[in-house]
Amino acid sequence: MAFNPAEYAARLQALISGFNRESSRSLYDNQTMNQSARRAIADANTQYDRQAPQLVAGYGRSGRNTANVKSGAFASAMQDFAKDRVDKTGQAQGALDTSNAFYQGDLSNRRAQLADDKNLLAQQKAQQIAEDAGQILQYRAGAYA
Amino acid sequence: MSHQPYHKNTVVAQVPKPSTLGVTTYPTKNWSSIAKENNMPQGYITATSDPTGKRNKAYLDTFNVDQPAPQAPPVNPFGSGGIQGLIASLRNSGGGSSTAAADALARDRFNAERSDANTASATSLRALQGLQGRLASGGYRGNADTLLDLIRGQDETGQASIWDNYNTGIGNINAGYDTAQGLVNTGYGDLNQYLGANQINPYANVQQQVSPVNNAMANYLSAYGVSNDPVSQQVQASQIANQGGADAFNQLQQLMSANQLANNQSNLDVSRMAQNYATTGLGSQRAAYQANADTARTSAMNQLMDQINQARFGVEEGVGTRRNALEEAIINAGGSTSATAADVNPDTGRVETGPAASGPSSTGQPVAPGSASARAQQVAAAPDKYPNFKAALADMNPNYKFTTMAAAKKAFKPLAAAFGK
Repeated sequence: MAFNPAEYAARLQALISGFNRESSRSLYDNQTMNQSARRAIADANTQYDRQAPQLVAGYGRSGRNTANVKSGAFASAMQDFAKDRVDKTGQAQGALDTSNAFYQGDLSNRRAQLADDKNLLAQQKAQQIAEDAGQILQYRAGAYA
Repeated sequence: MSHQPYHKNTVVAQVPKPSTLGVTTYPTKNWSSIAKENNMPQGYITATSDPTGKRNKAYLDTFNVDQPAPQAPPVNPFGSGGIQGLIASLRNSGGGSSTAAADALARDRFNAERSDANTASATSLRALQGLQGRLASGGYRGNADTLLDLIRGQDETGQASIWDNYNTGIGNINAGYDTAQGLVNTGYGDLNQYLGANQINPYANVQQQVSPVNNAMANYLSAYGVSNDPVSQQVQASQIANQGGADAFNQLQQLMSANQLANNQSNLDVSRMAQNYATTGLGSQRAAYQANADTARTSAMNQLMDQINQARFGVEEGVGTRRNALEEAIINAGGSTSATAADVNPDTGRVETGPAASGPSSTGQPVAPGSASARAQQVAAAPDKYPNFKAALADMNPNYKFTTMAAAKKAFKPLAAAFGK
């Protein structure tokens, strides 16, 4: 099969189009996921901000959090509440960071794959040209081939 | 003794009358009787048609019949031409006048036979000299040289054609190789250039970012007099957990980055290797085609050489056969085969002079010392005179350039035969 530049260009264009299509979809998915994750974190913080006064008020009604009384139970509850908030929001933020990192990693993989595919296509083109060159030499050799 | 005439209608056959004082006379006859005796045409002239006798006389003159004998000069009857001569003649001959006439006739016949024999001998000699001339001049080759020239021309034309085909083929192969090599260089050159310019590493700057974990309630706890230490420990633990995942991810990216760099270099190496392989393949391909062309040329040359040699052999074989036949004919005729082209008379084409000449020359020159008969005697005596064939050959033929014994024997067969070779 002789080298066909149009076919080579079409194959190259197909590679690039596939990369763009998949990258766009991946980017959209990642953006969507980011929005959801950030909203979830924001909602969690809102919940914690709303629950913190309720927790303080509960200990105040029971007399364990007054101006003169600071019970150990209140302090421990507040610390646990704060630790839980740190833990939950930290995990959510960590998950978001990991998701973003894997999106970048996935994009890098696709870029690497595109580069490899383009290299392979270029090598096939060069190899086809070399085979055509051999055919040309054979034709020129005529009866001596 | 018969009195048959040598030639019809001549009077030589007629017996003269007895001579008187050396004068021969012939009887006067009528033309018709003479014509009848001499078997002449009858009815040609008659007495009626020739009353004056003029035509009869012309007829007799024409056929030399009944002519008066030539008049002898006056003779002294007592001189040597007279009675004494007659007496001496009678003594010497022991016979009469009829016996003398028979002797004359016999002499004439002998002379005629000798003349014929000389003529035949001369003819044979000329034929032999012609054969020698043909051998010495190479005339026996006939149109062989022309045929050899044609064959030589065919050889040259054939070789030129073979070389033309070969050179054309080699030229096409080399041109095809140059074109193919150019394509390979262009194709792989473009690939190498592309690979060199696109040594990308998509993983180069990919790192997972670790967002800081904060204690959003630090102020809140402090406001109520609650210590943040336990919360800070939780912040640190969460931070470490997130950092740990990021580190694992980053390590993976570093590994993939290294692989990509290696892959890039490998692609470039593979491309260069493929270019080298393609170039080597084209070189091998060209070498194979050139070898095919060499083989085809050699085969064609061999075939042409065989054809030319066969054609030459056929011509030379014919020449050799004709030369052998010519030499045998010369030897059978008693001639020598050692004449050279310089011995050939260019005017007659015959070998008339020189050591190898046969018989006297046509110009009446005496027999050459090296004539055929003399040479035959030399050849016959050679075994007694010389120790071997080669010594005899060298001494008897000083101008002969000895090459091989077989050639010498072939050229001097009688001498070789004398030595039993």
